[in-house]
Amino acid sequence: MNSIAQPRILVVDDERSSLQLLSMVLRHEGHLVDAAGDGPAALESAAANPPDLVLMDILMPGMNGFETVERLRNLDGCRAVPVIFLTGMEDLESKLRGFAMGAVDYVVKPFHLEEVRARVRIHLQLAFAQRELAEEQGRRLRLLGQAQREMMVRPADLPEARFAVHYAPAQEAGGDLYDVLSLGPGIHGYLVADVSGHDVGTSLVATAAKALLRQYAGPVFSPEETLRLMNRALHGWLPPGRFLTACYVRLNRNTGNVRAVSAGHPAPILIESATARIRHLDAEGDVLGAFPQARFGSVDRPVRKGDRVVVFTDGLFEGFDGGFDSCRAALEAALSDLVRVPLEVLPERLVEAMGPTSCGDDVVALAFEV
Amino acid sequence: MIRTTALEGKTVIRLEGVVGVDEVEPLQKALSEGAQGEFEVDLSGCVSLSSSAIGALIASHNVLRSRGGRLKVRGAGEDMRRLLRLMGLDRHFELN
Repeated sequence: MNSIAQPRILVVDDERSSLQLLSMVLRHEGHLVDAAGDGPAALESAAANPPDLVLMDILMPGMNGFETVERLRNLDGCRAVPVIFLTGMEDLESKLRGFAMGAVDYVVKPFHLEEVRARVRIHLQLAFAQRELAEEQGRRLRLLGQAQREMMVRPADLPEARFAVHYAPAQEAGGDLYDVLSLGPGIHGYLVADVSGHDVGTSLVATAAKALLRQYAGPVFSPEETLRLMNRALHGWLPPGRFLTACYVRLNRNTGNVRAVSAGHPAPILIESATARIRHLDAEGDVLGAFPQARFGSVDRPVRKGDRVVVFTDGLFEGFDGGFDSCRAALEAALSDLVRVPLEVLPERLVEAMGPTSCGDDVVALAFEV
Repeated sequence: MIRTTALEGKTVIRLEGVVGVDEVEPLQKALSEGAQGEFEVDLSGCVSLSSSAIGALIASHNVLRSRGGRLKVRGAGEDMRRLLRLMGLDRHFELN
């Protein structure tokens, strides 16, 4: 988009006289004007110099106005450009068809120049106001994302939990979250979750989920009960169709036990230090927040000093077009190469080893050591 | 892509290819229209389901559940089945 001080307008009309007249009038108003005598010329011009507004004749030989706009929408910088159709037809059908294609207005020929000027002005003002709004929303989203990142506990904040994490939201404010909390001497809880959808709402749900975890993770509740209580609270206020998948792992260093609970989430992985053996901690469970009654299964494993657990979101599997088994196999292969790396770099190295995750999903990989 | 066909009084909502963010609205619309009568969801042509699309299926199931029914899903391939099982949805939906 160009500056509001000098907007660029593309005028498309096969009638020479009308094209010249419109161009001249708009230039006199101070606009930059590109004039095109047919559809292909219009597309060429728009590709080279994306306009801020298009005045488009409907009836043209060859490519008509509707067809030209349809193709225009595929050009960089023209997806949302406002279009005013110029038409000699006053029939309802062609008007409706134009509006369905995203036209913002009509001018019926023969037009009054004053009317054209007024409509052009108002639609340019609208387009620029919308752009400012979008930029403002982008700024807010970035602030929200920043706040979200700042609320995530860092390994240095809780050194006795001995964890490392790779947290890379794909959007400015994402739906992935993790949390690590102390549940008494030698006992820690580790949560990784993924909120469905990709919009501002997901980050709000993520924040609420963390607050609920802290409320229900205490020693009074088993990990299954923690998820059940979170589910009940979330189901009460989440809109239909919104849910989370989550994996919650509780490590008790005093008794040498790890318990993993799943809410429809990929299984965490236990890497045994002595044997370098890799185990999937498979537990079945419902997704969080979707159903009034939810069940959560758990799996227990004895662990020793030096053993590690990796908890992650399915963003790690982005870019794999093979099935479920090939994802798991790739994960095992990647982890067996990383058995001896320092804990601090394990999550990041794992994400790197799993390849490109630029397919739009967020990714969290969290590792902790007994 | 979402394709709805009516056959002998029964509506089949077929999900094809990658069902991403752009398909969620048409899917929600198809599901709420389908819920007027008997319908099922056909996943045989579906390669991947976004979390929002799964959310739409869950929301539709919850509406049916309040009337004593369940969401009927058919044609799920091996990977789609694994996904539904991983998310525990096989215990809620009717998988054929």
